[in-house]
Amino acid sequence: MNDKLKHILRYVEKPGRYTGGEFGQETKSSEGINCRVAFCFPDTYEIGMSNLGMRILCGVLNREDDVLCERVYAPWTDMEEQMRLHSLPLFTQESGDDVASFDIVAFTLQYELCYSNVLNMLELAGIPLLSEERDENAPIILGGGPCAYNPEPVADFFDIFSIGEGEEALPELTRLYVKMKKDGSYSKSAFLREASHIEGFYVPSLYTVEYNADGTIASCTPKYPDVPTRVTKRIIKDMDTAHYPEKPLVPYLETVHDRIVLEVYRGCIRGCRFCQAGMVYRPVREKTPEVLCRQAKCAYESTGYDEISLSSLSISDYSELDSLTDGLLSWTEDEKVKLSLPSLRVDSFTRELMDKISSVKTGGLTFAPEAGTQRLRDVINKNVTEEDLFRAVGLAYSVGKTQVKLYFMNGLPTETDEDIEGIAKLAKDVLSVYYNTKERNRMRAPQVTVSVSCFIPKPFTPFQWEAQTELEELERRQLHLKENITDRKIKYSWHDADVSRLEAVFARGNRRLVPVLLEARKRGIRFDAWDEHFDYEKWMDAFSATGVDPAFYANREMGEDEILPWDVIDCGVTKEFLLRERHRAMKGEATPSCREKCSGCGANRLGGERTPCK
Amino acid sequence: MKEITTVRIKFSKEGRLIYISHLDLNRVFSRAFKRAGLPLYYSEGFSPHPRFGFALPLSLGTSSECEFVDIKLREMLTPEEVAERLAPALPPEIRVLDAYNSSVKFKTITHSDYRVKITSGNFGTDSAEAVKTVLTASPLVIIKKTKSGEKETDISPFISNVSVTSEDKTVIIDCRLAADSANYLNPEYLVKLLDERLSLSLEKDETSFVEIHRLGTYVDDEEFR
Repeated sequence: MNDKLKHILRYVEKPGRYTGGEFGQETKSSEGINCRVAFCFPDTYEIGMSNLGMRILCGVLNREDDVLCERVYAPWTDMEEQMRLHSLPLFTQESGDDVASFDIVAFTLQYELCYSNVLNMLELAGIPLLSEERDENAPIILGGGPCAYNPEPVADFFDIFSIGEGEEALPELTRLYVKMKKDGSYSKSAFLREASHIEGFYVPSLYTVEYNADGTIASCTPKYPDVPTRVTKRIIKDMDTAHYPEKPLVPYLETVHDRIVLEVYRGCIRGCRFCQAGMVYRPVREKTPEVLCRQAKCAYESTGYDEISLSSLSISDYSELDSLTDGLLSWTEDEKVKLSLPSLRVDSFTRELMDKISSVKTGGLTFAPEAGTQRLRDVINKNVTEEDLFRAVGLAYSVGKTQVKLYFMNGLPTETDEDIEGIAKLAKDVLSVYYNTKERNRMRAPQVTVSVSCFIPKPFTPFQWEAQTELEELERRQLHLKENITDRKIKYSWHDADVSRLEAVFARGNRRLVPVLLEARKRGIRFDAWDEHFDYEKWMDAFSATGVDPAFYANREMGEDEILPWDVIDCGVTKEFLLRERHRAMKGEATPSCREKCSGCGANRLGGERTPCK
Repeated sequence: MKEITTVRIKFSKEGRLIYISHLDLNRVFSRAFKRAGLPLYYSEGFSPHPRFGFALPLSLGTSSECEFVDIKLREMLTPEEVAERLAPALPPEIRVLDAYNSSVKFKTITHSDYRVKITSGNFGTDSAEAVKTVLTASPLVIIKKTKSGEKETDISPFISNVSVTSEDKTVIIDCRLAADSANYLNPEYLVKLLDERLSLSLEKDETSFVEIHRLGTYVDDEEFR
């Protein structure tokens, strides 16, 4: 640790965020290293350290003999102030080396609201923001993660994007880098051109985007014949053999998910029409319980964590959940290790599961009906009925629970006031279930919490064409719901609609948003995902200063034959399928899960082991 | 399940680990106990917790060579066995210095010895003398944070055995500070006091440097064990 950092650490909150050296950190010798990667998470340490994907990817890169991968998180504002004051450039956790001195600087893009942090981190590292402004000595800037499925709003900042799962792709990229450096054929442009031939890599500077007079895209074409017209995402076919950090780092500071995270399977058999994760992570690929149990045991022994979280998009859809939980419980109970689940579908909530999973046994319960009426739930393909919900909460109440949390969305396509009133009614009915449950816990007053977010149309979903409801109308609907909730035992909370609007702009954005992001950086915007820093007015000023209309991206219904900014990416699920689903949605027709009947989404052509796909 | 034995571990905390808080340290130990496979005694009840406790809190940024933790076990193990299992499960910045059974309670602790090193370009020529004059003044009134808010406190009765040496721009202060629960004096107050009285501008001056190290813990004049 250098003296400047030591000096600064006295004057910042939670200095442990910036020291690295977490338990289990292995120091890799710098000898024989031919490629150094700085892997950045554009948010705080506590959030970044909770991300399993980043740990997996740092792990696979460090498995390569001649690659060194180190971690970087966004410094909190007090630290940023000190770093700027003392001219301390952005540094990595492990060695404390300048990020700008690395060969490749990778960013994982987990949510759109982190884009302003990406630019701020580049600036703190002293790296020019725009790809075209970076010379041969600057690092290659690599992007990946869920937001890379529509990389266009940040296309000019990145040299290259990794599309899809990176466990195999990233080492292929570093091997190419090392090879070209060794044989002398390396230059930034030669490397990027060559890298565009590796499946799953998108080099935005190799494509020309032309626009129509109305601002829609006229064409997006490769500049050279050897560059692919569309980039297909990568997947790991066999999850059992995929890298899993069996000896994960253990942070000293308390992080957001401070526990062992066991990824049970990838993909989702449900087809909720608003859900991007459920589409882009297809096809479903499961791990076997034997492998999961071994990985959990190993991670426990090396970390001493007292909680294991079973993570997947919908854990109860795992085909071998019983043997997994039985296998884990055979030792976790004696060791006082808790099992937890992030969320549950109401139709799979059982007494047995409640007995097995501590977070279900002791915590409050959270269900996500998403919409207030059956009609709207059919539109979004949630495939959950009121009866399912009442049965689940009835079960919970009968074993003494009193607190239930319900998640909904406002502004879903076709939503009317009746659907909003339906949310209030559903909450009331859930409360009545409590009073009608004989075995209910009378010692504590019941509470139903209704939490409502705003619908955001996302790329690669059947709702990708939909306009987001106007801000004022969203706010009116939020208020309308408030007026309809009269019972004091029902607590109502809602997400700020302006945050969701900005998210919608960047989710469906194109390259014309680049100047807006540059302007936002000039105006000092960062940490948009944090309430205390999000400033909608400041953002709107950045839009008007650059002459870009946010409504064009957020509030416009896109044409079905329009070229979409993300059409250059192939995420497995076909546009024909998404269109088919959109049309079924408008007719209120539900689509069964992948296990009941294949709906022909197209992701099966990517392959995969232990999958319901044919 | 019954508690069978309590083992006291004396340990040091240094390096990067000085930047973690007391609460963080709790987690570090509870995970280390699990990695070490120690048969911890758990509290009864709905959500059982392992029973262990620390002697004195150590403020953020301070290193130490005299920290103590008592661990309650549900099986009979000798202190040596506990130390042997625990040492490799701890981060390298925490070293086990001693392990024994003890009946002396933590709350009997009255004092701690510290070494405070301050480097500053703003020290005058007679820096050691100036520092000593500030620290040995009586009364010495500062604004001290207490549970009931900030209040003016004369801290001169809580400071003793002050010796100060200086070398170049660095002043080394050895002192004994009150550490009983009613009168615990955080050595950071001394740094703050010197910063203000001697106009050191420690935060602004990036060549400045502060190191605080806890040297020993006492029951009156007896070393605590």
